Amino acid sequence: MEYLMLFYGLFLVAYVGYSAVGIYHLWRFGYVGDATRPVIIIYSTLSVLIVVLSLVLIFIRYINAPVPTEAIL
Amino acid sequence: MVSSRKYFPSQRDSEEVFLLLRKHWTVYIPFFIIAGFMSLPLIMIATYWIYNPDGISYMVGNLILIFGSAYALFILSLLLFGFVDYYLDVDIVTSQRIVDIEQNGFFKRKISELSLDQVEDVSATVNGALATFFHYGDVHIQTAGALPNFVFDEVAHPYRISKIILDLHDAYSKGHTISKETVFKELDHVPGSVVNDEPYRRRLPLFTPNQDKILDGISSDLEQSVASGYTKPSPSSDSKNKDSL
Repeated sequence: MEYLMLFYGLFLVAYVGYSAVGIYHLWRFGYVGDATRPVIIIYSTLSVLIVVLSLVLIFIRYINAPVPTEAIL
Repeated sequence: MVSSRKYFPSQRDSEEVFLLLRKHWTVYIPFFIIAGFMSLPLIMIATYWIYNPDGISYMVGNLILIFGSAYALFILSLLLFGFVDYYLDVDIVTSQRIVDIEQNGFFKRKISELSLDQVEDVSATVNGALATFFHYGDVHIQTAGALPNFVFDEVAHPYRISKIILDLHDAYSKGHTISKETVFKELDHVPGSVVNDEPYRRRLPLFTPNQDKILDGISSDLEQSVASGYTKPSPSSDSKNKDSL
């Protein structure tokens, strides 16, 4: 599980970097009143939603994880 | 964000932006279709999990959550890439020149400019059923001499745009100072041209919201010019007005 979380953390770092570049382009080269700002907001909101939802679900599952047999014995 | 007064880096203070064109929205649809197909496995696994919560073990569940989340973010990032590539490709027609801003991915941006007097010929092509149905196509601008030709790819209403560019070129090569008022006179007869005519603007989805702002500016300037004595030329007095330009 630790390795999985490490992979996910590294992926998120890369994803945040990639998103920052994309959003920068939209912010830098978009015009006032066009669709760039709504797209930035929708993209950021969806990204945060996916990450938060997955982390919350993983945490809930971790709390309710089945106890290993060795621990019971 | 680019200032509402400047649309490209080398825009002069005296330069009026008449058209700001992007590719037709149908060009972006394939990205949504690909994203939709890519999302299918996620939707199927999520549906299976919801209806069989005990059918997936703890470890496999965690794997699905982490890789599923990463996969969903990957799809989202593809959509962002496609949008940047599609939406930041802009063609601008001003009172003095034509500007083609081409965005290829995140790290390649090319800005080409062409003076209006170097325009030799303008043609429009609509190719394919989808393009015919949705009224979009390419506008080819042939340039004088060894200059590379300009192509506005997949823009809405290509015939109208080519007509507007030709009219602007004619006015520019005749030595008219192309002001908002001149465009109003020169292009009044062209459907979709920059005119102070509300029905045109309602009927034609040619202009972006930004273009509307430009048109609003033109409208207010025209109102001022009318107030200061300028009147819209009637067909009979057209030649007289052209002489006075």
